[in-house]
Amino acid sequence: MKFKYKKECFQISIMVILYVLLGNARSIQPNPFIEGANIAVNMMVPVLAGILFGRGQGLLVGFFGTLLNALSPAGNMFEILAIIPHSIMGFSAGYFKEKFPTPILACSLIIGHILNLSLFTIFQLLPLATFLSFQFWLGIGYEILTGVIAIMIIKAIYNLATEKE
Amino acid sequence: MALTTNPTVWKILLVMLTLITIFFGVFFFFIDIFITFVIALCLIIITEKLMNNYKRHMHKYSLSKFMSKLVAFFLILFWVSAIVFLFANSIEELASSIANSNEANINSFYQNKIKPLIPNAIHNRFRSDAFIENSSKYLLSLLSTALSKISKLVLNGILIIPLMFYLYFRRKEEIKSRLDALVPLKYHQAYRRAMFGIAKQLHDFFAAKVIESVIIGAICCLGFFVAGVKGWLILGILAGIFNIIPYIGPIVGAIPPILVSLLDQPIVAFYVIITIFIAQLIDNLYLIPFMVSSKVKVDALFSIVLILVGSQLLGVLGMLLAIPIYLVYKIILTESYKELVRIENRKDS
Repeated sequence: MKFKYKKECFQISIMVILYVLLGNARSIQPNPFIEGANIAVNMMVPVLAGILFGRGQGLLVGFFGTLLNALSPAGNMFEILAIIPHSIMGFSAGYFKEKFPTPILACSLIIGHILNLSLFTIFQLLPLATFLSFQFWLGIGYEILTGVIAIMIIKAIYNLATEKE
Repeated sequence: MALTTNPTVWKILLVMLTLITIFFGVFFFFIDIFITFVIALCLIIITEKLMNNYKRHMHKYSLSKFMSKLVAFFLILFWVSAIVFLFANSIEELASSIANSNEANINSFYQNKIKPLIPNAIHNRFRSDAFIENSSKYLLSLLSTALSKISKLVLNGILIIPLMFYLYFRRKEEIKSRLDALVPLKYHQAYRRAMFGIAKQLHDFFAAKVIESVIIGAICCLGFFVAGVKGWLILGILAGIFNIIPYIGPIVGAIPPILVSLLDQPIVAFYVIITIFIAQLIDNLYLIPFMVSSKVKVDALFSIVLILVGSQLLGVLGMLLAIPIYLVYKIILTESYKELVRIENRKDS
């Protein structure tokens, strides 16, 4: 019996590996606006999976990618709490795939950040006073902007690679 | 098909060959400007493709011409700022990595990791300590020279590239009609056919190679970023550019990131090799068979000979440009030959 989801499984596997690789990357830049925080480059991977392949892939990459990254050397409590937010983020990017242009879809990162921050606050990983700092919101904005730019570039390169004449 | 024996055709082709050679000769004399022209040409191809995609997408939203142009303007401003910011960061990272490195990094790596593996007899025979010291001094000076050359190219680019963009996108038709006016009326149709064939083939070739380089460059950038190579963006893009050279290009493209990582953290050089290997796997299994091979037809042995001749004449630049220049000659002379034979046959009949 032929497995009919071979292509989807391949797409999800590649994106999950990419997520874990980026999560453990050695060139991760610190966020210039938030002390002690790094730019979460791997957050854009579930969004990319949703934009390129669809909502199912976005959801599963968000779930399994974050789960595996949480179990990797770069994993911590923040990563464990981020599993559900990243899954929702990837799903929403894929859900609106045909309806909005790429820059708007890339702003699904905002959903991920909001859900992350909410869970971090509920589980007391982030003090409430952090949210009163302007630098903090500047840092979040910087991270979202970096993610949106990276997603747009990668989408353009993906289109170049897969364009049929 | 047998070649023509008409002397007129061969005389004209000889004149064309001489003119093209003089053209390239002049360009190679002003090599820095020539490289800038080539970079500008590649950027024009990418921009034209992006513009066509943009027009196709904007068509869906039924915006007025003014709004489309306004959106395009802000997009360009945004992207230029982002690229300048990314490049500035990458250059600074690379420059500081080279400035902070010294022979001690390579020497200590050699003393701690490599020397214990080498038998003393070989170590004493080849005086490998002195060799490593001289090599590391040479590598540092090579990297510093390369960085200053890149900065000079960037300066040339800032002056020349915007002008080339203006000439291509705004004055293209005017330049074409001026060239058309130089051709005698009776040869107009043949000239237009030849120019169309030449332009199409050159465009197809360069477009395929540019797209291949962009994809390989992106894979290398990602791999170098994950590996922790300082200046990953610049080095990844360089690896993509060097990929244009067949067979030898990937090896040449791997040398700068390996050198930079040896100066910084030698274990990273191993990750660089893995990245280059994966990039080449994707290039040979997917990009070349499905994207490039239908557009670029050069015999493997002949292309290696061309690259070696190019390297003899102009070093690394010669290797990079050998195949594109050969294809320019081939396409122009082949199309011109076809049209000249057609014209002469019509005259005879």
